[in-house]
Amino acid sequence: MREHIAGGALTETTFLVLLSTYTPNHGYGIMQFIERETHGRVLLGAGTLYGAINTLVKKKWIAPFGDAEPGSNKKTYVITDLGKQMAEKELNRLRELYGLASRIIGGEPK
Amino acid sequence: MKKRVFRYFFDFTDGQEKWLNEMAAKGWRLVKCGQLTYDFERCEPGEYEYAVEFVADKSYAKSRDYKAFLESMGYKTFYKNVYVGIFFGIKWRPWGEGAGQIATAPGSLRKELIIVEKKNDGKSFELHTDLTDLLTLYRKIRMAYFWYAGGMFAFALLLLFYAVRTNSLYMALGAALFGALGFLWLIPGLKTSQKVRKLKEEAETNEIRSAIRKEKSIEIDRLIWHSHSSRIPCIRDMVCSRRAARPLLGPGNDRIRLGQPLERKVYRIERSQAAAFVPEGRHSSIYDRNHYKIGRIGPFHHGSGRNGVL
Repeated sequence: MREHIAGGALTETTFLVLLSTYTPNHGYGIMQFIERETHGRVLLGAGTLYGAINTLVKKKWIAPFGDAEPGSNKKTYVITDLGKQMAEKELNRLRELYGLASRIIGGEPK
Repeated sequence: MKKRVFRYFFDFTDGQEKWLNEMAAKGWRLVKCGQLTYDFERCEPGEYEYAVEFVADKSYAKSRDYKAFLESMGYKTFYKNVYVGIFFGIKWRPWGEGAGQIATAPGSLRKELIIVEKKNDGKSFELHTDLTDLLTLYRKIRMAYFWYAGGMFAFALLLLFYAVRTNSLYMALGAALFGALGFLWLIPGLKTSQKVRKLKEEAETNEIRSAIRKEKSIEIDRLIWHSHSSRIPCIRDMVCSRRAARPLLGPGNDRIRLGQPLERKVYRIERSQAAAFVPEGRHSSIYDRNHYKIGRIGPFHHGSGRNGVL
């Protein structure tokens, strides 16, 4: 996972994991969320997801939420305020990019 | 029905993974693995898929945490060794991260790999999908292969030195043996190196690897079946005359879901699965559940990625 500091661009994986934790979610839930919401375009590998979750927890963009469900080792995570800030910044960046691409490539009459 | 297979993989990542998937395609599910053994029991052909994960760079605590995470994702996992030995041991792993540099037994020694089993749901099974993530991983694996190979070569040289000094044939034989072992690790190391180069190239423009392992698929350029069958053939209903294999990929690399009707278009089949469908260079008939012949598949030329016909 690489953050492009200068451009402020998040990797797609980072952004998707952030989006999937707006409501508290566990690993399997995050994977399912991403597959469902991208209509199967992004199938996140479990190993990549594990790395992403650990990195984001370390950066405090997401945080462990409550206790693990009793009788299971499913840890739940929720996005932090810092994480929300990052996600909003990314949304703005994407809007800008989308506008630019639409103007150049066309297809979006404006 | 159970069976035990004695085997050791020098090509411990890709080679082992490919073999386990071939076994699964033939209807053998892994139930237990020892240092040099694999215990299998019968399953539906293609019912399970396997991935081999390299965890020798992680400390024991981290590798256990990761293993628990994989289990929580609904996979079954097995620890597997690269290092072979029966005594208490301690070993330096130059490719390790932090506490992962020291491996002990009991502990992370002889638990260098995690074999991950997933029930086949027709979707691709990749543990790593981010290109940067893949790059980091394969660089570590490459380093491990080269250290294993280098260690063997160093030992071979030492023995050769003594062989010359003492004029001992046994020493010379020993040197040859360790040299050969070194090559067995060097080859997958070089293969991994090639993979790293490819990934680097892909990572220059992309972030996420496409969901399907392209290099593993064979293109089937035509789909032929007998129109006198009024039934719509489904993957679910398909029984191969030899052995069934499940994951077929449709146009644009989409995996065909189980039960989805087939169309007269280009289909892809993964190379590891092709071996289960048909022997090399031959073709095989495909039947639906009522043993009604709906088409044929093959011939495949496994090495060359040549086309086959379904």
